Amino acid sequence: MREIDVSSLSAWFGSKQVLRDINLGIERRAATAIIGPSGCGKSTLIRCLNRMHEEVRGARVEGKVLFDGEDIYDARVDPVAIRRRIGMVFQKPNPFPTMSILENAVAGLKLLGRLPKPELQERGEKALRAAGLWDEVKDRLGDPGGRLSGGQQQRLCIARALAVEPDVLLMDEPASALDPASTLRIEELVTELKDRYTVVIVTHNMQQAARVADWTLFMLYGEVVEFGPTSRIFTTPEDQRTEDYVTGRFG
Amino acid sequence: MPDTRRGFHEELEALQREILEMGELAGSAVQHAVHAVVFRDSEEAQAVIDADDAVDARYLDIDQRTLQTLALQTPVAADLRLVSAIIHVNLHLERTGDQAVNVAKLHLLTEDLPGSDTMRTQIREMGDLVVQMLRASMEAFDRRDLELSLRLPKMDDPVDRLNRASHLEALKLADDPSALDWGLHMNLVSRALERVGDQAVDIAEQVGFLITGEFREFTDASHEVQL
Amino acid sequence: MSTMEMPREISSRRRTKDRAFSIALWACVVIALVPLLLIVYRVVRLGLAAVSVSLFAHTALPASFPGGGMKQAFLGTGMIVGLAVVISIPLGVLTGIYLSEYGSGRVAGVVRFTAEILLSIPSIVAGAFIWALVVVALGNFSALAAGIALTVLMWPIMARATEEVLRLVPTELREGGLALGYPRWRVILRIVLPTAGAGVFTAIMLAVARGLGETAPVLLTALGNDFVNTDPLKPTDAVPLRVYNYAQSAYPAWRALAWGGALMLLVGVLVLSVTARVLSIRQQRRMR
Repeated sequence: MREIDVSSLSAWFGSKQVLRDINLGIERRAATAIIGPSGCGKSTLIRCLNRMHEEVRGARVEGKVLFDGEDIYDARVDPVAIRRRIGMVFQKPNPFPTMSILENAVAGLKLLGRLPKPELQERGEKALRAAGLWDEVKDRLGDPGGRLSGGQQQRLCIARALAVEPDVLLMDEPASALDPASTLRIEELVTELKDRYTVVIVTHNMQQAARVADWTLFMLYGEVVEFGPTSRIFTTPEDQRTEDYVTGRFG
Repeated sequence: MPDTRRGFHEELEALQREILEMGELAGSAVQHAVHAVVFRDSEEAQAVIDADDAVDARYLDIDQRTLQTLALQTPVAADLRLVSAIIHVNLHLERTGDQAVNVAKLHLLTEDLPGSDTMRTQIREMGDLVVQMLRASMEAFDRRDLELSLRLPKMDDPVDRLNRASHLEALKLADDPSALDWGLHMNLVSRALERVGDQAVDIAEQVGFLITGEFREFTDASHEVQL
Repeated sequence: MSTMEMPREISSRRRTKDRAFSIALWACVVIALVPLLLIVYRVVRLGLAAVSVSLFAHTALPASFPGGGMKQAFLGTGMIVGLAVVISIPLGVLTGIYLSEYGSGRVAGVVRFTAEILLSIPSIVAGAFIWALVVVALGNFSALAAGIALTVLMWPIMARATEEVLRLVPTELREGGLALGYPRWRVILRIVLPTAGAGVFTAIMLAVARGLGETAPVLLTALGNDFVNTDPLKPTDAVPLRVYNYAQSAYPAWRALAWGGALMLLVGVLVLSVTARVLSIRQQRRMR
């Protein structure tokens, strides 16, 4: 079942076109990886899914992105509302430095109005557990968010995104800035999360896509080259360009 | 440190269990096939033939899953050697299953012919030995027991002797054409059993590779056994 | 294997040149520092003599009367700068926020340019402008007019310094907030400003440091007063003003008080500048 349906999506930075007529269906409660060489538009694509692309000055989008039956680019839709249902984790962990660990985890919940403290505690704990961070921070929830290691910071950001209970979790190269051990932990986390959330993950590491994703999209120069089950993409790709990329013959 | 590739390692364990189960199936098939020959039980022979489908299905499943694992998980070090060993052992077990089917078929072809008790005893002995070898090699695989795996080639010697002995025994049936017919077919049976023994030794070689990272041929048709 | 001849030693000619250049640079530093140090020394020496309780506790007295002070000037400066701060902080900080968070269009460019210009206009021009605008309109000199004049000088500093500090907040923090579904104003209020925190305070302090010492605009707008004045709409005294007047007088007592006032101004600006610097270093460390 499709959670997100991308239809004829194109995107520009000023006059430079970075996405060309993308058509794509993101499967519900599964992990979809987007791979491709640098500059192919994968980050731009994922940012179009929660309307973050247009936050950049001069950025423009055309086309439709259907989520829950509605086009998120419809004039009547508030981008802010979309982002509460489609969350995002970035390449560089970005916990808010002036907030404690727990405050970071529940930062998104504050938008829902004044929640009583015990409820915030509870939901914060739930999110931190879901991100696999609870055991490491439960005794120091009041510490500033910036005092954690890189891998822990990233899991905190994941917890922060999960606390608002989104339908979709977008991850833009979430492990790129981390050491290999932390990277594997994040991957393991993604394989757990995809049972409950729809995950879209951009990665420049093909093996990561192979390990983690159910579906893989290969992009080149702003276009979709091939999209299919990960096992097929990595055993018998249909397009020669896909084959060349995954075997490392280019890119 | 927690296992950060739990899903992958769980799959490896599942594949190992599958291989061990397949070893059981193959061993049991050989055992029943030999039993059918020795006790002239055609129903049992047919049952062995029918059961081979399950073995083949398992073979395909394991084959596909190992390929998938290689493509998607890029295993290294011990994990890689394990996957490689599983692929090889999978093949050896499938061939073992095929040999059991051959034995069963050979019985069905000769079920009405008179036979020789001596030869039947030899075949029974061979059957027991090779099933033991198979079980030993699979146990060595399960327990990563290098010592046990190194003992396999020695266990093959009596099998070879019995094989040659049964050839000589068949010659004694030259006077009776139908008995000779049976006898010649039984030579094929003993050859099939001898092959099962070889498969067991090959499996033991894989265990050696899995544990040490070095592949040593235990027995080579062109060389004397040297350990 | 390459055989590369390493020069055994740097040629002595090169070394001499190097040394000569270093000496020349150091000489320039000394030449630049000496007047500053002389001034500071003189102010401190002469000012310390005048610093006493009466400097702060007593108002101005005719020169022949002993025990006069500059109490009304200190209070006046407090009121004037206070008014300036109250007006310029909202204007300056909000402008800074606008320039940093929304400021990539033509309007922002104009605002930025205006701030740059105002940063370098002679302060007497600001004073004259406000004189014409406020003093004439109100009909008299006042602390308020002086406060407004100082605002003209303080606002650009606050705006630009705030903008710089906010720009230092990494973009990924803003993105993190936006991605959570925060509207832009909330991202600024709850994430950007708190993170820049001390930096904004620093911007304010730098602006106040400027406002403290300006004489010309205060001269044209506050006029001065020998007595303590609490009405912002009336003429008020200020420390730089009083120092200016007393320094030119014929009376040694008044001239001594002038040194005292000058020293206090020096101390005030020094304290603000150093605090601003320390806070800014700590702030930069936090953002890394």
